[in-house]
Amino acid sequence: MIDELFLWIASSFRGETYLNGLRAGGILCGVADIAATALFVRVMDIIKGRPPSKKIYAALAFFLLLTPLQLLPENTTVFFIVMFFVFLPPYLILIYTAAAEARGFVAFVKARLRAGAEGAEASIASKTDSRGDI
Amino acid sequence: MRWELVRQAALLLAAALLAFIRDIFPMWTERLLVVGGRDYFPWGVRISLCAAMVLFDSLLVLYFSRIVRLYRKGLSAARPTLPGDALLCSLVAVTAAGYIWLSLSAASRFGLSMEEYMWIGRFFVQLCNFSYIALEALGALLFLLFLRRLRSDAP
Repeated sequence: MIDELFLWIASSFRGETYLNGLRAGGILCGVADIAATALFVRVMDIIKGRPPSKKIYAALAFFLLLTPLQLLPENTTVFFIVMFFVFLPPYLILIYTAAAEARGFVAFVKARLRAGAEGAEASIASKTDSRGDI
Repeated sequence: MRWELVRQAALLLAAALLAFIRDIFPMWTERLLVVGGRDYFPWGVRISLCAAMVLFDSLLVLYFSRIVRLYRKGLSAARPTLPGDALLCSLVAVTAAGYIWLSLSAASRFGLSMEEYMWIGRFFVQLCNFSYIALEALGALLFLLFLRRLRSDAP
């Protein structure tokens, strides 16, 4: 079965099949990246207590509208050029946001976990005291 | 520490890229992955780099999923991470090595041309691309779960 797969790939995985795979991958990848970026930016907006980053959301919405352009190219060279201009900016926004906000995100999670742990300890201590009184 | 890691990663990447420039390193790239008189080493490096990128993304998603789980369930949900990390690295390495070995075996048995063999490589790159898409979608789902928890915790 594996041999048949490799023989099929070697003889038939080219032309329109390969291009359709690239198109589907490009669109799905673009949508997933834009969704992940938008959600991460929103998470950081809430953590930092700042208003929604409308400019970033507008930029992401703009590139989301451009993702179907990857259906148009009829050869792989043009496809990769279109994909580069459609895919790269949202990915750069994701990289920049992750790099700029990573420390703040980790600090927030640590603080919340510490607060949760201290709250749990205080709860246990108060229960122990009440049992001691009895 | 961080710059040392970056320096080492840059050296590894440079070595991988130089594997394709035969005029610079003709001695050590030849005979490393030669099957049926053809040198498949640069091809093997490309496959390995694609697999490494998928592994990197997988580890990012894995670590973030741990943060989300700890945030939602508290520190009591913390579990050792080494077995999961080792399993993931092993799965990706075995998949890449297995693909290279099986395809080399098929190429030598059926006498595939280099052009046909390059398409086998491109197929693996597309598989890695779709794996990356699945990981990105999983990452987006984790962000969504984290966002919902943040909103419910907000005063």
